[in-house]
Amino acid sequence: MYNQLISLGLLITILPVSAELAQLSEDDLGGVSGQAGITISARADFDDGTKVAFSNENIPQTDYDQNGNYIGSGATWIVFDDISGSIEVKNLDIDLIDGVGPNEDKGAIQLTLPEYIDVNELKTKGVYLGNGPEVAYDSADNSTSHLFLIGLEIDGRLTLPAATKVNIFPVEQ
Amino acid sequence: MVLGLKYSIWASPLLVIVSTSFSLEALDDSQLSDVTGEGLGATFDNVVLYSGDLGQPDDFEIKLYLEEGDSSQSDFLRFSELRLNKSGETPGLSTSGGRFGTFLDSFNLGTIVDKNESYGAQRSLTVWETAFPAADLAQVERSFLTFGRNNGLSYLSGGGHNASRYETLPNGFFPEPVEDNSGEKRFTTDGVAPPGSVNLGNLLSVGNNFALASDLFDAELDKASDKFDLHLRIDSVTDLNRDLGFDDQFFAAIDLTGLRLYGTRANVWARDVSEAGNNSGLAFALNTGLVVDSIDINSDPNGALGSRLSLEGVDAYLPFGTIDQPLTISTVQFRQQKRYKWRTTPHRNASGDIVESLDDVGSGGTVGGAAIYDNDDVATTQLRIEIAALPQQAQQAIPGHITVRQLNFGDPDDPETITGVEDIYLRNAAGQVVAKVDDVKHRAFVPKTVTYNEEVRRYNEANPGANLPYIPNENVIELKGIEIQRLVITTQDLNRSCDVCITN
Repeated sequence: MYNQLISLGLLITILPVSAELAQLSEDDLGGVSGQAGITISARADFDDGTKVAFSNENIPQTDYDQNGNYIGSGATWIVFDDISGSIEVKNLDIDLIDGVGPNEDKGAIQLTLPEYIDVNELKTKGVYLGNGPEVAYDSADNSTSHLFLIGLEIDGRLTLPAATKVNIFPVEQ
Repeated sequence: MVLGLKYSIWASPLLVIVSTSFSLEALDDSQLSDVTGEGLGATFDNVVLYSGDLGQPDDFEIKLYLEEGDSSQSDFLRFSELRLNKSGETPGLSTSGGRFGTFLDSFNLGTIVDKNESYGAQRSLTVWETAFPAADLAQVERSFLTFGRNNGLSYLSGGGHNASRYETLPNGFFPEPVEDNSGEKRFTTDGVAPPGSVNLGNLLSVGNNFALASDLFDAELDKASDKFDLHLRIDSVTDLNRDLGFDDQFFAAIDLTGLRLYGTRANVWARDVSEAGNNSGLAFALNTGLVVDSIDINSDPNGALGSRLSLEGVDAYLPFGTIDQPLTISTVQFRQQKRYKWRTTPHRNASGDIVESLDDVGSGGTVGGAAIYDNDDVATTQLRIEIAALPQQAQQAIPGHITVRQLNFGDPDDPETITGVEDIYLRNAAGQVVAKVDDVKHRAFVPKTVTYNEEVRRYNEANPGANLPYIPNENVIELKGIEIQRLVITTQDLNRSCDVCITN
């Protein structure tokens, strides 16, 4: 077999993340009185060098193609390399509620989605496929050890102005 | 065991909890007894997403870079102005929210279920299933011609229908073109006696049943979800427009109006290489059903009507993979196809620059490796998306169907989109002509039934109590029975460096 597989069997994260605590203003405090559950505002900064890689080495691999030529060893990895930037959410509420369902006799976890999601140049240098979780760059000819699939960058503010509510509950098949 | 264990998750996104007020209410015993643990459902209320115009302080953009390297020099696609709200509402307002899913017909976040293959080894598979609201709703028949044939439309089942232009209507419902003084056939009835009555047969009753089936379908969807409007802007940035303004980078704006999903679910499982060979990896069985009132694509940054393409009355149901014929995503070691003559190493001159010809190597240069005059001998890792071959015993794949009622190109008053001007005679339920509308514009890719019904609507609004009957609409596009017997998509590295290739 000369094909190698990707599945989500393994997750590697190298996340040099910094976070900052934000002090609530009086207005913010006033807005959460009498509320059940918790309210979360969060910001995550990703330093250069952060990456996420997936692979699964439990699936049989082969070092040779169908013609007997050596093609390298090890599992194939998908690597989100060199992630940087930050993401921030404002006022995500998590509550436990009851009285849902047609007979209003069920419970649920209720998320009130944040007022906005601020993303500040959150990007990855590239999504790569290759042997191993490390993408090696050769500055001499700008080549890489892995196959480049696509680069991704997200920037700006996504607003959720209507206090979108998500109820999560157990269901039967 | 796994390389990943060399690393540890030594930091994860830290959450800043700004407010905590604990007054959680525990589920009572009866509520807990209802928890089966089989899966999680979710409902969404007041769904609104908004981002401002591109370039404004509240904009939001997603860039997909298509080239490796310095992003400031790479070509990329940019998606922005993402807006989602209840259909017909103003984007971005707190009152514009729509509902998605109900307690009894929720968005299924994930259920673990067992499913059996029907053919071959007939393995039992444990799959992770997610499903959108109305996942069990089947596509309704959108073709009145098909519906009429299957439901006893009299002039079809009787075999007496010989009209060549309007298959779903009795002969003579629309007047045939007449010859003018020059002998040319024209679609005008000026100076011509009105057409006589037409025996409608059971057109209206079958048409009512056709509309009823559609209404019942919509009513089921209404229970599950509101209609939504979605807006998205796409820009394409290359060296040609990198330093220009947003208008010069604009590619298209897409607006989906009255969007809803039905019959949409996904099963995911792992297909082991030992049992599936090349068609292994992450396996999916996907069904997607989509109904949209209109899809507008406009290639003018200011939304000029002349630059639009609009599809109205869209219903698309497409299966991508099944338990027996899954869609898989895997990687393969793939040899490049013959496009270049590859060298193992390039020729270089004394300065180290790559040169194509041996004559240009010169003194102090290095001669490259031998040229390979066949496909690249280096197998590279590529992504493969594949829908497995249909099992022979199955004979037929699950078909998909796509219907589009009408297409609108450009400005509706653009003479180039107007195919003709014709008087329309409006008929009552007995098939008698009761009114004539002069000089009605007919447009390309808009069925005449649509044009007729628009005039009926105007007449009924202007004449309360008249209630002339509508006729069933035809579709301008009907793709029926779309089957995928096998599909293989393998990426190739078009951007592979020519450090090791020559082109002559």
